[in-house]
Amino acid sequence: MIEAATQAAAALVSPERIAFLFIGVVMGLILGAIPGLGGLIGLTILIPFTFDFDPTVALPMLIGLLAVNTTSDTIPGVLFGVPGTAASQATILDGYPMAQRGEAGRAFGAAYMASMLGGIFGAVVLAVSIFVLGPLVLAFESPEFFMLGIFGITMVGTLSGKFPLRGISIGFFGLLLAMIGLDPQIGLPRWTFNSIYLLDGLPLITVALGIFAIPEIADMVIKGTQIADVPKEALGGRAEGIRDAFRNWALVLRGSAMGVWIGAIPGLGGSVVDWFAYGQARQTCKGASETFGKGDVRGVIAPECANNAKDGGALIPTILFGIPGSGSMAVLLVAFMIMGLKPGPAMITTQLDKTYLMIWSLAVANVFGTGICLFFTPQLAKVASIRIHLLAPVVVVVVFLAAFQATRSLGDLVALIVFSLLGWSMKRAGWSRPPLILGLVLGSIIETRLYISLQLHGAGFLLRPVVLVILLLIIATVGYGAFQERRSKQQWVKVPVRDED
Amino acid sequence: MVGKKLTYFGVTFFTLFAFGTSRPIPAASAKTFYEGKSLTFLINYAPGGGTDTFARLVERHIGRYIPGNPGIRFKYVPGGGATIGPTLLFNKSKPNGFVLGVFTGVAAMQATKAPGANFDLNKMRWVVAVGEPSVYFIRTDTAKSVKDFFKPFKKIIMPGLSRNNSKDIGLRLTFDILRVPKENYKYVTGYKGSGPVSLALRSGEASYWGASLTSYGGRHRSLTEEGIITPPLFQTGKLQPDGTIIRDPRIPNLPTLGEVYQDLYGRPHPTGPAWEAWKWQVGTRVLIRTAMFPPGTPDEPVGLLSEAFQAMEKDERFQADAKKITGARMILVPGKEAKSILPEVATMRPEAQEYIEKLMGIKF
Repeated sequence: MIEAATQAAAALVSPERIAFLFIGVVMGLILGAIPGLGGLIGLTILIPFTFDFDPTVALPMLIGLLAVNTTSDTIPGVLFGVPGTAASQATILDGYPMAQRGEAGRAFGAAYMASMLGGIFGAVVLAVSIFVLGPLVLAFESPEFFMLGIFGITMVGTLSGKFPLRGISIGFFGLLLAMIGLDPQIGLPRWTFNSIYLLDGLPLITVALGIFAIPEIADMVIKGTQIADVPKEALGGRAEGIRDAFRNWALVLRGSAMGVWIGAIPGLGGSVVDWFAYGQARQTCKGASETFGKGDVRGVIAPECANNAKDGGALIPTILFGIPGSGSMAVLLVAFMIMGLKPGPAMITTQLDKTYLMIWSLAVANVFGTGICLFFTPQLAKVASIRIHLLAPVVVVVVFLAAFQATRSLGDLVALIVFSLLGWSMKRAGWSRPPLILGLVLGSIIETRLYISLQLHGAGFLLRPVVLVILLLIIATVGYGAFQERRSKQQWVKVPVRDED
Repeated sequence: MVGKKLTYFGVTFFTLFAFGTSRPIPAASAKTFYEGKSLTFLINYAPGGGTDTFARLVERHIGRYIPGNPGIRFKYVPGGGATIGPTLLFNKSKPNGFVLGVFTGVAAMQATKAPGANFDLNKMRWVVAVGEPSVYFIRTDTAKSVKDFFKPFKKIIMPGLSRNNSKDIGLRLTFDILRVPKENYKYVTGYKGSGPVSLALRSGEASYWGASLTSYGGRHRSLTEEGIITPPLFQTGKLQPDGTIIRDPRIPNLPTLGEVYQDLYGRPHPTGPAWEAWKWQVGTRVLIRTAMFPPGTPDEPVGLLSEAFQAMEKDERFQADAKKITGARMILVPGKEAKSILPEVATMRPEAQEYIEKLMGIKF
């Protein structure tokens, strides 16, 4: 093992491989920062170029692209309240308020450092535990997947707003929206209203941009100010954010561990890992229940380290079984096939050097990505002080173009406008928006897994040990949510309705 | 106020102008249809299965033969018993030559008029078709041979996509023909392809499955090497014009279902409605994998892709990769020829139709 690790490290430090790794990192950073794109598109573009590459050159480039997607996706989230990828939604809850307070630089510094530490942690865990984690991954079957999906919805609903029960119901509304389209069991149209556009269901990116982006921009335009409600001189710095990440080293460790474990669960990890980490931070950090959601830097650190660590976890089932841990990993598997790499025992025996090359690439890419992002942090932080009448038109046009990428039809723009109105209304009424997106993301998994579970086990699937544990967590989460809501209402007395997310 | 409005207008106009003029307007000549463009493969199964493996194999080689060498993107639309993909291609995809359906099992879907199969293959613009047998195997902790199907170590779990899916029909027919008692197995639907089934086979959630040569080679062979599943126990074989089924020449050492039946029961070969339905099933495997454009696609892209596939078939690099996966060369049937045999492939005898209607729980 040590020999293979050393060999792989030596292979990586050649100028050619480092250069290609760097190319992948730069591409990944750009794609992660633009809502609607992301690593999947980048991989699809890059893979054909790697057909004739040596695997020891292609792998660092592809891993480099994947590793840093969730580093730069913080940028639109902190500045505009728009998630760059599905894995950065939780970051917005505290990152965006920090930007509004003039602490965008601090938020970026904390996020990037946490991302780097999480990414390295994920790589280390992958290196050490790939030999033993296989059975754990296989312990999850359809009932466990179903219950994890429900837990994800309830957790997000509870954490993302002042009124947890409302949040949970919004999450289930998101599940309903996920049912629009062709039924996954038989293929008959559901709730398509004879619309060809809706046969394919609602495109996630269009809905997410409508729900998050337009309402935020609209609010800022109405106020006529800028993102940061403080003078330019008061804009907070990245150094403080970096120190925050190290000061909260225990939180980084916990979040990263959670990111790796959840990332290893095929199909589920990417969309919920940041929420699980945020949730555990809120429950374990001192005073968090009062400060989270209002610009607490710990609310940025926890999800950011988790969503970078998850890549290490997602590589485990991908490498060991050829089961992609995420959509991007599914595409990476293609690259494996092209390079002649066969997922399975060979990857931890005869091809161990290639596996360690991926691990080293993951770690180094996170360092590169963080370095680049930190370098540009002062400039990014200044965006928060740009007058909105300069920024808004550009952002709105980019949002419309990004939404149009979904299916490149007029329906995308109509859907964007409809969900913008919905998002705006939810914001004004104080209804949390992230649970709706998560419901939309998890709807298909939850429905399919429930269907299979009932056929295999009947209602008895609820008595499986892991399912029971998760069910208890769900009950505890909902109970906690009900308690919080009651407390909020008692404190709420006669305060005007505020926009809360 | 006026100044602000002008600024809004100016910045918006500039941004739109910048995006609008960021690419040169292409010349109106037929230089190359695909130059600077991308081609999307629309796939009706989840990633990781035989359809995906085939599409990725094509992606690796076909660029050399398409003038303009377009970028190739993948869009997966599994579900509905694999009907969603062709339904979307037929009803929603623009017939502009930039979306190519790469499908498995569509001929059978149309023949059985599967619920959700809202498309007409006769109107699609066919590009190529591939025929492949399927092989069947089982988890070694459930059975080690066909004889163990009758006294399995534990209940056999047969995963499926949906009752109307042709792959599911094939799976269920194998047990009906072999007369495996119904109490020995459970049929569970909802999986979206070989990829998710592979995970279920590994974890033990499912135990019995049949996969095409491409899917077995690309995904399941490693499970055999690890001892999790048996080597293939039998194959679908190849339907002859006289109605007999012989071993596919690519796997000459693997018995057919009929031969296994003879071995079990000592009779010449199976007969009856289930066997007629099976013969029809095997016949559809001649067109098991197809690539097609939506109806109304212009002749130019159809011609370009058809020629590209035929040129790629002669490429030894492509065949070398195909052999690594399936163990044999791949034969690509031109689209026109494949479409011409569709009526014959889709036709089933009345007793076969009745049996399949019973399996699917519908009337055609």
